[in-house]
Amino acid sequence: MVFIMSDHPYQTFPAGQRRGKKAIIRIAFFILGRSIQSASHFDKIIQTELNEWPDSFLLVYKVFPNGPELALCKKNNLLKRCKHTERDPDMLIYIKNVEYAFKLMTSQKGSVQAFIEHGAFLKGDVTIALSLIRILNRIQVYLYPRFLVKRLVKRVPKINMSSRYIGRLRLIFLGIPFGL
Amino acid sequence: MIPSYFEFYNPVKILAGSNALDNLAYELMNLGAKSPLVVTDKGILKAGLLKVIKNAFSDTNIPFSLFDNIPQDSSDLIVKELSNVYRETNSDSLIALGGGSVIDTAKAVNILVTHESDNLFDFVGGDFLKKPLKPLIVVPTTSGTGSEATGVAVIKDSERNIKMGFSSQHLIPDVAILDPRMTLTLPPLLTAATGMDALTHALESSYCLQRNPVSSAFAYSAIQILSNHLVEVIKNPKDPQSRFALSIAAFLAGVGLSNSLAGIVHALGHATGGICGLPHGIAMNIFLPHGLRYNLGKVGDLIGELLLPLAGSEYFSEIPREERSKAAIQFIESLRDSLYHLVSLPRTLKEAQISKEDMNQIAKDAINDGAIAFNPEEVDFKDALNVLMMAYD
Ligand SMILES: [Fe+2]
Repeated sequence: MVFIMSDHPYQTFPAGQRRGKKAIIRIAFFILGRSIQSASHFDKIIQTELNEWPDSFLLVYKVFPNGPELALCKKNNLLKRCKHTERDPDMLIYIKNVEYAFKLMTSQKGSVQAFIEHGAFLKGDVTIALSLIRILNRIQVYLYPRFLVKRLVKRVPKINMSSRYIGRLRLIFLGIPFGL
Repeated sequence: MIPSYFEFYNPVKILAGSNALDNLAYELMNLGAKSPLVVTDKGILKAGLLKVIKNAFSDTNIPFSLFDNIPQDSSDLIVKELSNVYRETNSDSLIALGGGSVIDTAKAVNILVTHESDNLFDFVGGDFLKKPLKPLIVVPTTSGTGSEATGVAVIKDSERNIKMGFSSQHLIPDVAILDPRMTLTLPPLLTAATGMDALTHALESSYCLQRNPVSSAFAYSAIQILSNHLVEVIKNPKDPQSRFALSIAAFLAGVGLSNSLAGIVHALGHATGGICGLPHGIAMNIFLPHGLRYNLGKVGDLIGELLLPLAGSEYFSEIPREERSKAAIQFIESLRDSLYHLVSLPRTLKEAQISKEDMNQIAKDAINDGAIAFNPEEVDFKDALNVLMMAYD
């Protein structure tokens, strides 16, 4: 019989990393950020929503506690991806863990569902969070086929077919690659 | 129907029944508190309820301080003043004696005194408190808001004249004392309105999106007690047994609300309250059947199941499954009629003298109210306006 001797009767584990999932979340944050930025250029209803937001409003999505983040700032009635280092965000949406963020960002979960399931929590003005949900609902219509959107939202926002396809092409060819 | 994921939290210790308040000193000792600050409003003092508190402290060696100036619509200014009183009196715990406004104020004071802060605005929003607060014991004198069971406080921003919401699990009181003596003097109209608020908490929390089997168990039990006792209390306000029943139901419904949140009825109620000052319970009474009807398409089956706690098993089994949701709504409507005949509790916006001109603004505010996110059916501006029109007359 062999005894393995160790200094302590216990082991200590450092916090691990989930690099693969975090990388996908980062890419998804990038796509979402660019899509929001682009859609706020051409979608009239998104523009009306943004009108109600305070100027230079800073919104940050962050995976708790030290995961990837996405910062969006309102400028000239557009919501643009931006860096946030110097000031506290006006609204912080914390996603509670990497797994949940992965599901949310790969659209296995909807944004309302994330709050219902306590997967995300909000620091900031609820009115703006609701406006953001309405904006995201529209962006999903541009990005995804209807059957998928239906699983993510309570009611699919009405956007007529031609605007839907033009919007989709714009996001794919200009919005996501160039942010236009 | 079991959701794929849910959370539930309710750490409130309940002391319920006749003379429950007499255990106050013992509970303070359990919480390590030696000098509590009692906060209340002038109405409570007029009703003579302070005597019960004083008696509970006699022969205990526990001195207490009293602040009795909390208005109906408490604001950040009162909260600030009160936290200064807390510090000046070297208090180490809070006892809230009153209705929703008093309890919410005590919760907000607790945020400031625990964090040694003067600025309530730093804490607006959800899940922001990182440490447990000072001991808070709540003695409700109304039976409706359920604030004794929730981790939510609503306080007016006196400068911008809007309501600020605070929510955190740390805001949930440590102890709720449900003593029938404390609600005996609640006027019948107020009893009816707060009772309908409790019923709305129970109903909305059991069919809205954050429902789960644990909180629904609380809600069902609340619905059953309310439908058995609400009208009875209005007819016989001095009956301690049914007063006690309502207090328990309000607590149970508050637990449901705290864990599963509400929906369109609360969103419309908050908006109408904000714009026209319509009291919350009356708004709930007006909007409740319309909110149920609005959600029939998405959760008709669930609403149908609520007929059981509402109307009892005999009636429930007589009604075919597909007609139960409509029967549940009819049940609520006839309950409203009874309350209208007894105490003139308004059933429509017109009866509550709300002007049609305010409808657009109310609809706009309602779709921007947090509760709307948890409503099963999507609600846009037009939808909200339609429901308001139906609730008008
Ligand atoms: Fe309520």
